[in-house]
Amino acid sequence: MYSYLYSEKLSHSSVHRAVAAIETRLHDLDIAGNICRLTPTKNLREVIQQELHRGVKTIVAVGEDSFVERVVTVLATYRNNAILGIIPAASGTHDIAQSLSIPFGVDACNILSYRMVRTLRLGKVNNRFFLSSVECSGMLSVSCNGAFTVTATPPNKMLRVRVTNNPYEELRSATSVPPLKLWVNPTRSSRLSLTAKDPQESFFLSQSFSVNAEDRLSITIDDHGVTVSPPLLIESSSVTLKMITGALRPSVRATLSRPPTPNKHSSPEQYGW
Amino acid sequence: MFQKPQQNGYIKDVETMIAPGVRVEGEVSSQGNITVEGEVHGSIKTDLHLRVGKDAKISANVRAQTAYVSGHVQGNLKVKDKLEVTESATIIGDIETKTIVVAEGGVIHGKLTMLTDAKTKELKTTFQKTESKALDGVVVE
Repeated sequence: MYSYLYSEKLSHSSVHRAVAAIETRLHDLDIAGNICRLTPTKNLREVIQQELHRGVKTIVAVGEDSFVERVVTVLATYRNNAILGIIPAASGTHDIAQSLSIPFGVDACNILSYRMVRTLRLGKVNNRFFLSSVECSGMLSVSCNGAFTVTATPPNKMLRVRVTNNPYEELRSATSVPPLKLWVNPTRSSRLSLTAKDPQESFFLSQSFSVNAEDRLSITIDDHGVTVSPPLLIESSSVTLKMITGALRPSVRATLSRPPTPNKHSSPEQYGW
Repeated sequence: MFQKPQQNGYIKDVETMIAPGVRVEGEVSSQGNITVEGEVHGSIKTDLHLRVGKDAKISANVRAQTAYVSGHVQGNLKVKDKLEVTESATIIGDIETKTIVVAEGGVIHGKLTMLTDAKTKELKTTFQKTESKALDGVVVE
């Protein structure tokens, strides 16, 4: 049983034709379901709660990255067995879908029908969840697990900080969660240094990072920008989410220990993969 | 598990990298390889290899399996296996290691203690016993 959550941006008249094409394709593939059109007055959490209460097994987020990220956060907090699918549509970035090898628009419906389900492990940033990365820059100091602090030298220099999570990395055990990777890069101080060689990146592995700054922080969570008050607590978590993904890139496939479990009624060759 | 360092102390699969322009304060502990090219104040502990670059400044006590030092280290070094000190290195502190290689121009200010394994210890004690008995006028075959 499918439920389709439409982003607020899909109510715009410029995307009506694209939405109609997606709906037709879903009917053709016999995977059409209940459609919930989000509006600024509708609460996403309540909508998802209602759908899960109705016994929906697959929730599909139709929209851009920021919308998918909101759906991921809500769905991850319920910790039930609902599966999340994505149809990238509307204006905005679609990097989450791209990282999961899901094509834009109508073509994503084929991925949904193929139903290759993977369990992805999420990272946590303050009270939200993220799939792959959190980025921010400024006059920052980062504490790693409370053991040591990373700052720029000289102290007035800016730092660009990126914390990455490998969602495909499986839990080693119930108690041992794979660490996150922190990348620290001192930013260039002036335009004159544009020609200079890019500085080397520092990196550290840790279960949690705390980012401190004097002012409010503009951060990018899975390519979606938000502003938050420091400190920013980024930690690895044992929370997982089942997602419908496309064919994986060879590099990602190599990191996986388990082979995918495709639907017996369809095959990758059917879609020319 | 243990990877042999390549030429100039470089090693693949670095778990922690402290690049130039970055300062770390506190206890840096890792089960993998560590490379330091920036500044560290506190302590460094690794179960594998530590590489200290030419421009690195370390003001910390260091523990490692093997180490390659090319920069400035102020603090005590405990290296279980092999310590390599290059011509640009300056170490101010006591060193404990099993094997040491010092290049011409490398500076060390401190006490150097060579760690011995069990076999070396055995030989040493046997030698001491033989020596004391010989002094007592007893010939040992």
